[in-house]
Amino acid sequence: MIVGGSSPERVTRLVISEGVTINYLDIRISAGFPSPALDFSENDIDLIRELGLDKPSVYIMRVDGKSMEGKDIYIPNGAFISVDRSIKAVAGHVVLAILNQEFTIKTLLRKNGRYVLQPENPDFKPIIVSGDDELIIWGVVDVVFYRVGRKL
Amino acid sequence: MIALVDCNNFYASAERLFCPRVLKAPVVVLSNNDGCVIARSQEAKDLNIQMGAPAFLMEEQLIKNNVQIFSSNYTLYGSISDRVHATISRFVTDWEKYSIDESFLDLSGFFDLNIYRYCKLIRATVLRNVGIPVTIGIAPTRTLAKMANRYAKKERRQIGVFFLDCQQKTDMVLKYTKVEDIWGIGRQFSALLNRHGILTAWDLVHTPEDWVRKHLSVVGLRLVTELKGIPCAELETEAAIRKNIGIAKSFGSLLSKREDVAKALANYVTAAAEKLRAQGSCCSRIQVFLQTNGFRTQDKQYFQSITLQLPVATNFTPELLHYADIALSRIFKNGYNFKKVGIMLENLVPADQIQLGLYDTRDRDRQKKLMTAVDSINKLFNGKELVKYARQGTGRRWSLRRERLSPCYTTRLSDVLVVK
Repeated sequence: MIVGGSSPERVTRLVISEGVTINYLDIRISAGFPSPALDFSENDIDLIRELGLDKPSVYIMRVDGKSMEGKDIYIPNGAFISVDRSIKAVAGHVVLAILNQEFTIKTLLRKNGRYVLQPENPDFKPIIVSGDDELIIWGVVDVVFYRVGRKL
Repeated sequence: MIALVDCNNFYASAERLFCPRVLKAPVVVLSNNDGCVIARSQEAKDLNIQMGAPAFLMEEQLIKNNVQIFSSNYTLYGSISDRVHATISRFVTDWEKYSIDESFLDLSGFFDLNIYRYCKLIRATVLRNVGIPVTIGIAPTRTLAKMANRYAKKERRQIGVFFLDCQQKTDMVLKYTKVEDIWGIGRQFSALLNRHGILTAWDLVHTPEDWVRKHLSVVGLRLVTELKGIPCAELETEAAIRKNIGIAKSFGSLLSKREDVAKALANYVTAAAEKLRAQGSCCSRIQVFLQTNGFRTQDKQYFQSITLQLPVATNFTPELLHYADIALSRIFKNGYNFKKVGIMLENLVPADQIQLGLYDTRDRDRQKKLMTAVDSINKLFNGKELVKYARQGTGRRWSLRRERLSPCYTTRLSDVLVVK
């Protein structure tokens, strides 16, 4: 929102209800033609919304470690992730799991009737979940954020 | 029909969500300054830890039973509460957020047959999507919905939904509920009712209305009408504008110097003024009060409060700080160990309807712009108070004792959960 300012076009945001915002172009015409953009005005891209980061089921977290730095799936050390609890986890999903009271991010697989927590980095060993282990799927990792070549 | 959705052991459940090692352990959350127990997980309740119990008196019991202790993290609870309510609100058109952990839903227009299943779906969705367990009581009135909810929490814990859809069930719950456990009946009234042999909600419903009106006034009569299944209170879907804004907190340690107390007061005034502007109000009267710790019998005791009428209603922080400091000067005395200072902003009026003063020389338009700028900067940095007033000081001698505070996982990027 532009506060004050003497620019001829002032954008006022009207929040109609939760999640619905209307940009209202308040144009003061002193002379000349009205802006031709008026009838074609659109909102800028809202990535928060597009990526579903405003959903009440989505939590932001940070990754520590290189176990998910793989070829096909690459979640680098230090990256931020969004974890969506509303997605039902199935084999093949990257999940945030609680294994024996510890959080871990791995790819969930099912092999020979057992769940496997598979790291994407070949230097790490898969965890085969046995009957004595306690596994809780907390949520599904949905989006990964990192700056190329720089810390976020 | 009205449903009351109530989060189970909300503060404890919110802490657990991010802390798997305490999933099975008893959990308690302590009040400001880590004083008393204000929330308990089921396991802690089963250990017979009482609500309001002072933590320092039961250290041994807590350690022996491996009770996990948290300081209250209202930033976190507020954020999780918003998620719960956002999830619930997608299911109905009319709802009221009643408190940080309770919402009333208006289910009129739904068929009774579907209501129970629908509420089970709401419960399952909140648990899965947000991670917080809730209990839902459904009844024709708010008072009965509250009662159904309480019954569900005690007797239907696994299912978590209880629907008073017929008179038999309603009678059963009315007989189950003691008068002191009815929503809106205070300790005095329940003592009075017990003296007259009215022990349960069922007894109360079957008491002659004349008697109720005479002894419990019209408010009591409304309550009994609600218990009979006739709604008296409408849902308040618009949050009410507050009439007073007050902030008073106990210090982390006792303070006796004027400058330390003044710093604490300045911080409360700043926070209260921000709330005042957030709801678009100004205040024309302030009250400041100061007190010692009544529990410390070895200390000299002092309590004093003062009210100042302001020349023009304002929400300009420097102006409020100025008057609050004058007020403090009038009531402050040396030689006492102070426990608490507080500010109350009163006589609130809408900011666009203030009565201007004839001799007022302040440039109120400029002040308004300054406050808008300060508020938006501080909002940008998520309440971290980047812009402060000199009176607030930098020391933290006055601040809360919160030794077991969990991170603000959902509101600060620096605090997010780190996972391997």
